Parts: sequence; C-alpha cells; structure tokens
Amino acid sequence: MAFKLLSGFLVENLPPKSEDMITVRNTDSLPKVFEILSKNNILSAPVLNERNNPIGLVDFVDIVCCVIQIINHTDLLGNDYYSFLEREDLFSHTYASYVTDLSEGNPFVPVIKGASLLEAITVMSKNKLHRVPIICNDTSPSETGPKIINLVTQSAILTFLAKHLDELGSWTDKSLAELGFAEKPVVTINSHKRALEAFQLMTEKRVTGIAVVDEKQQILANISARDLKELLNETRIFENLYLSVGEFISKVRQQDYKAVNPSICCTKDESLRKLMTRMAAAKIHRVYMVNNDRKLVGVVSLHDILEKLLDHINSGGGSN
Amino acid sequence: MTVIIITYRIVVDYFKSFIVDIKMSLNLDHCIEKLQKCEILSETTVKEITDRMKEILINEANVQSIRAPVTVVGDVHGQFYDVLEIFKIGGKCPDTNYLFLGDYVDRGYHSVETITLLSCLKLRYPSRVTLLRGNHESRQITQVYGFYGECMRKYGNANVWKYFTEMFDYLPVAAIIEDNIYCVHGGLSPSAPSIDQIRVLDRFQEVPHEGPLADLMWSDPDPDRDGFVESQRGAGYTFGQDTVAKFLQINKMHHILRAHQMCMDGYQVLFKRTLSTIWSAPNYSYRCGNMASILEINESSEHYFNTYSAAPESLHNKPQQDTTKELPDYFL
Repeated sequence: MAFKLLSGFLVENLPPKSEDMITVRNTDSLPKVFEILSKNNILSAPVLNERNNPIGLVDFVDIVCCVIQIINHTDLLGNDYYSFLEREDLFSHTYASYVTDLSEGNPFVPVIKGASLLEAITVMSKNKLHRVPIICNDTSPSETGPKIINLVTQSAILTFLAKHLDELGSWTDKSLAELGFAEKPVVTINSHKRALEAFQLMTEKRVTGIAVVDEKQQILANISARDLKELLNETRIFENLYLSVGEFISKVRQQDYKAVNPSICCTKDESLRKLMTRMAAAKIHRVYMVNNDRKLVGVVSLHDILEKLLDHINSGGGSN
Repeated sequence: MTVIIITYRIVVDYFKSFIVDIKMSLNLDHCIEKLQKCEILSETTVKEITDRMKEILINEANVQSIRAPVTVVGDVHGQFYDVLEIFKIGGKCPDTNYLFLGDYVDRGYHSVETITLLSCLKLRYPSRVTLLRGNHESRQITQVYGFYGECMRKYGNANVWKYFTEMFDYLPVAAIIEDNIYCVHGGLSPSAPSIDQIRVLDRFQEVPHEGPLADLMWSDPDPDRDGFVESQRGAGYTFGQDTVAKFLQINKMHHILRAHQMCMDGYQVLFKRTLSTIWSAPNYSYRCGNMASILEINESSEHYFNTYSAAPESLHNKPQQDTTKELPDYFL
C-alpha cells in the first residue's frame, strides 16, 4: 500500500506550485537573502547563477553559521559597540554565493522531473537532507544547463503523508516504542543562557533545533534556525542574539498573534499515526519525547519517521 | 556589643510581629484603589492575595453555576487600560456581575496590574465576579508569552509569577449561565462530550499537554470542517458544527460562549447562533487594529454585544521596553 502510494506519485505534483518557487541570486547580499526567506515565510531557497542554473541551496542554518563566523571573527569579548557595527557591516557585505550550504548540512542532491515521491524520500533519507530539488533539462534555446523547477520540502512530504495515513498501512497505529523509536540524549540549553550560545550549540552539534529547558530540566520551548526569520523587522539582528534564550523566544513567538503550544511533546506510547497528524497540523519537523515527569528523553524528527517508513517498505510490508 | 545586638533583635522582632498582624488584615479597597491608578502592590501583599484566592477557589466547582444578569468578558491579555474601559462601559463591580473567560496575562504591558486587580475584585465581591482559566494561565505559556518577563522586570525576581501561576491551578474551567449557556475559554473536547465528565476532572494542576483539560482551554470551532481535528496550535482540537449540535443536545444546553480567538469585530457568532466567541482586547498586541466586545446578558437572558475600541491611555502608555540588558552604557 505504502509502496504503491509513494511510487505512483510524481514528485512535481507535490505542492506548492512551481510557479511560486522563490529563488535567490548568487550576487544577492545576505540582508537581501534574509529578507527574501523571511518575507516569503520559507526556510530555504535555491541559489542561481547568471545563467539561472542552480549552484546550491541556502537556508537559515547557513545564515546562522555565517552569523557565528562573523561573531568569532570580530572576536567579541565585551560589548564593544564598534564590534556591533563592524558585524552589521560584514553581514551586509556577505553574498549568497558564500553562504550557500555554509553549514554543509544542505547539500544539493536533486531528483529529475518525473521521479516518484518514493525516490525523493529515499534520497532525502539517505543523504539526511531537509529538502530535495527537482531539476529538469528541457530548456528554451536561449538557456542551457539544468533548471530547478521546485523543491520537495519536509513540510510538503509531511502534509502529504498525514493526508494519506490510511493508505500507508496499519503499522502506523503502533506506538513509537513498538516501532523502535529509541530514547536518546537531547541537545538542550537553559533558558537563562544567551541566544547566541543556542545558535552556536546548533552549529557545533550539527542539529537544526534544540530544546530550551528550565532549572528543573523541563522543556519550555524548541529553538531553531527558523526563529531567526522573525527578526526581519529588527534593525539590528546581532543585538537580539545577546538576549537570553528565554527573552529571545518570548520576543520571536509574540510576533504571531495566534498562541501556539511552544513545546509540543510526545510520549513513547503515542501512536506514530497520531504523532504525524499532530506534526502536520502544527507544521513542525521535530517533537521532543518526554517521560511521565515531563523530562526529556528523546526527540523524533521527520527524518526518523522517513527512515522507519522506508524500512517498512523495504521489508516488504509496504505492499499490503 | 553582643548585648546591644540582642536587644536590637528583640526590638525588631517585636515590631515585625506587628507588621505581620497589620498585613494579615488585607485592605482590599485600598489595594483596588491603588491598582486602578496602575500601581503594582508589594510582593508580600500579592502573596496574601493569592493565598486567599486559593482558599476561596478551592471551594468552587470545575463548572460554576451563574445566574443572569451577567456581563461576560473574553481575553484581556494584560491590556490594563482596556480593562478599566470594560468597567466604564459595562458598569462598575459589584453593580454589574462579571464572568471572565480567562487569558488575563501575557502580551500586554500590564499583566501584573490586570491579574492583581481582577483577583482583588474577586476577593472583595466573590459572588459577583467569576474568573475562569484560559490557556495562558499556565507556567509554560507565561514563560514564553510575556508574564514571566514582566514579573521579573517589575519585581526583580520570579516570586510573584510563582504565586500567580500557583493560583491559576485553582481557577474553575467552565461555567453555566441560567442552566443553558455553557461558557469555557477554548472549546470542546472529544474526550469529554458530557459536562458531567468535566465536573469530575482533577483541575488542580498545571494545564496538561493533552486530554480534556487541555482541550477545554485550547480548542477552536471550525466552520469548514466537521468532527474533531488536531489543532494547528499544537494543543486541543478544532471542532465542527456537528460536534456543537451534539454537545448541546446531550447536555441540554442552548448556547456555547467562549473566547480564545481574536475577532476583528470584537465578537463572532457561528453555527446558526449556537456558538459565540467574545474577544475583549482591542487593538490586540497593540497592533492588530481590532475592535473588542463584552457580552451583556440581562435578566430575560437576552444577549447584547457591547463593542468598543482601545482606550486612549492604551495608545499613549507604552512603557520603555527593556531591550537587551547587555547593551553598553555609552549612552549614559
């Protein structure tokens, strides 16, 4: 069932429509890249060269990497105002070509138009990608080289899977524990530490999100690269990084006038089906696993779910 | 030298016992007067207020019964001057009976003054004021959406936040007006189709992540989808017209009154007039430009949505927002 569903669905039919695809030029400055991503409410975009061929992807994790690099370079020990200015200057004079996959977590591994969704999921899972570009080679006579027509994002895959849960099979009704989602150590940061340290930790541990905890080690919120998106209207990005994680999260989350649960969690007894429905509804890619005392015991990411899905299909379970 | 210190200590303790005694007899009228000038009360007074609130709230049922006439208020979110407007428009307490549907704190600049005033009014006129719990009356949510930060700024420590969040655990979660209008902050729960199930829940805890208590405070109606669907908010559900009809039928109610969602016009009526949302924070977050309303229910149980816009003081009184404390003092 799952196999049939995924192998029969063409990757270019996955929303959003390709006419709406947002791209960035390699000569765009970093503030421009930031603006394009934030204003369009997306996490990443392909970077195109002068001939409109894709040279790679840029996302907020790359921007975080760049910001950390700039801070390390300007060697801040105290709160030297001139260093703030210097940094803003460096930030404005960095270009998309430099930032493209700066984090090395965002490699450009495409599928060709006409490939199945199953193929895209396999590529995503094997290479631990957050998005898979779709390219095609049929071009107009004036342009040559591969053209990118769309991105297969985690959000798009999650929405699709959640919509077709019945067709994936009854194995999704099993609990996370039964399916083998193991407890594992979670990267956390105390809410009193600086927001800058949270982003440094993300870069260091090569994760895209970490758990913010209080003194009792209970989860308060998730902080991730996408929280930077909300700083678009701030004139000085760097200053906000010196807020405490708690204050930073407060500031960022209050940009949305609709209240959402800041720390969506699950227990190991929850069914995968229910978890996927909740993740798709809230549009998140990561859910923290807690025990009965609300202490963190693990994290379930969309990658983990895709891995299990592929295991299920490859073990022959996907055909019933 | 030691003799002097001992005498000093005896004298101080003697006077301290007086001070404790004086504070024990809390002067609520004085507190209310002070608060109405937007002045915060001392930490010790807040502790006294929250202790007393817990004493009366523990005797309130999960689902409180209320008689008309009553004026129902939706989310106010720390917009103190707009709360004062409510009393100007709807009538002073206790001349008017009030039912508040929760969400007293977070986002606005005066969550402390707002919740302290409402607590004092409840203590002063317990049978005239009913306070329900909203999803923001929670330790987790207040740490992210502003109340915790405001308490730290105004008191220098987290004690007041701790006292209020402990008090929040005691607030009732629903009310029924004249045996036919069901009032709750958010909405319905698939695990509690009957009000009798809600009556027997243990509400004296932090708002859980899931389950009927969470759903009551987080759910939203959905005019476009039937049944219960996982909510975009990451807690609670959206519920459709069919669930409302079924709920009213099973529980022999005529109407559901709730808040939780901003309405540009201050209120919204759905599902063939069987569900109303009231929203009482005008120009929400000081930027949404929306109207607000309070629902006046008279002795004949007629409904009147009294709408209003932001108080003039609300527009002028934006306090200096604390930006990063790390900023250098070259400005000085």
